[in-house]
Amino acid sequence: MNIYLTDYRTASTTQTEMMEDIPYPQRVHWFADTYKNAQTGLVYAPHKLAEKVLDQNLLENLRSRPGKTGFILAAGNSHFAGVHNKTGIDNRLTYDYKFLALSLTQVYAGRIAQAGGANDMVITDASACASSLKVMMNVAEMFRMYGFDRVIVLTLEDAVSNPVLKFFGESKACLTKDQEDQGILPSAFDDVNYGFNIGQGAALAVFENAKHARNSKAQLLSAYSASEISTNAIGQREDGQGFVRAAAGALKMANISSSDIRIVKTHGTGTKSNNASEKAALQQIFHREFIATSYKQRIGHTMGASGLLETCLLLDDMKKGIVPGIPNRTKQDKVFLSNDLIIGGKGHNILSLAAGMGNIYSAAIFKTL
Amino acid sequence: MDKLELFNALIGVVTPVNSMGARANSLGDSLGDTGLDSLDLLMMGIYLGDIYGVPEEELKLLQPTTVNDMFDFMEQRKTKEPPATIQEALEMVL
Repeated sequence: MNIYLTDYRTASTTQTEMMEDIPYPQRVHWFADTYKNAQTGLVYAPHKLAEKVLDQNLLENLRSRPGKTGFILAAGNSHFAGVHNKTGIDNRLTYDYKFLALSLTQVYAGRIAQAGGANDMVITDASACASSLKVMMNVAEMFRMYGFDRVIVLTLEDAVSNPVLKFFGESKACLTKDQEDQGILPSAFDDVNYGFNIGQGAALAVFENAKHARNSKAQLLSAYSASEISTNAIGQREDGQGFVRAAAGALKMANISSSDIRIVKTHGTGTKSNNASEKAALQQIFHREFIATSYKQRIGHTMGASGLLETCLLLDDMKKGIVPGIPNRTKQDKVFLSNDLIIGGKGHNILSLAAGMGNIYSAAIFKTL
Repeated sequence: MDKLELFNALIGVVTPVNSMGARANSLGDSLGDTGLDSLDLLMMGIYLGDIYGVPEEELKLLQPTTVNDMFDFMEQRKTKEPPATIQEALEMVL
């Protein structure tokens, strides 16, 4: 059973703005218009973000197509984080939902599913930052075990919101203004620079079987999710066990070896924990023979959306013949790319990785077409 | 401001993504026939409440059957006059 990624839309930004009026001032990648009038509680930032990828022409086209169609909202959480904004902060990001029901991701998913003609199955996923890659396993299951013809995946999370910025700033998981003032720049797998800023981002992806696929952009070869036993529910083991188990599972499901992988799109948050864990995992899987990049330093950490969104961005870049290097590396490196890599042709296998709080790890393998 | 025109303009706001054909053809239309679902109608009430300045506590009493019922409710409990144009009304909620 071949599964094709036939269409996608993405929303992300490389632009940043310093948020000064929050407890842990920090730079964010965001679309300010998604918060326009949000304080009324009638216009919801995550919904407005989703609208940036919910192409009405595409949805109308999907509604008209025959076939058993499912919908997955990979939201990272069971409700959008802007709700219950008890941070005591009054700023541009402050709002509360007037209808709590509309902050529940499953209610939102059901409404969007109808717009895309997905009347056969609706799933929501709350696997934190692993969410959008974790649901690739669900996508594969739906085609292979339940005979779906088409699965539409929408992924976004209410990442740039007061509760999220406070939590990540407080836990020192993202770069704050203090670190920026010390000259630290976002990077990954580097000895000097590290970390990420938080970002808004979304992706809409359409997967179809061979019977219904028209202009395929990539093939989903396999997907696998794993966990690991850890004493830290929000961190990653230094031996990379979770990443290893997810990647090994995906390779086995695709029936290929690690030498068949051309590019690794890392989770790549650039935190000390992630640097150690993912590097150890990749060295075990690939025996030091691999090429890897990260997108979080360009567009920010878009949380639940990051895995699939970054994969789509990589597909766009590879179509242009490049794999972008990881920004702000201080050493030349051809493994964790410090410079853009020129890459030609098609048929390259990509291993995409993601990790989420709660010790959730996801891997998916795509082939460029 | 034409009430039917306002109602149909708000359909594009209260429904996610697009209206998917939802529409009222007259103020006497049953809300069940407009194609709006329960959450759409809930949102419609809130938006109209904002436009007419109806307090949230009073909005909980809204139990309309037709499009006209919604506007009658708003007119009876309004604390301000709605704007003169559809555009101005939409700007209040967008």
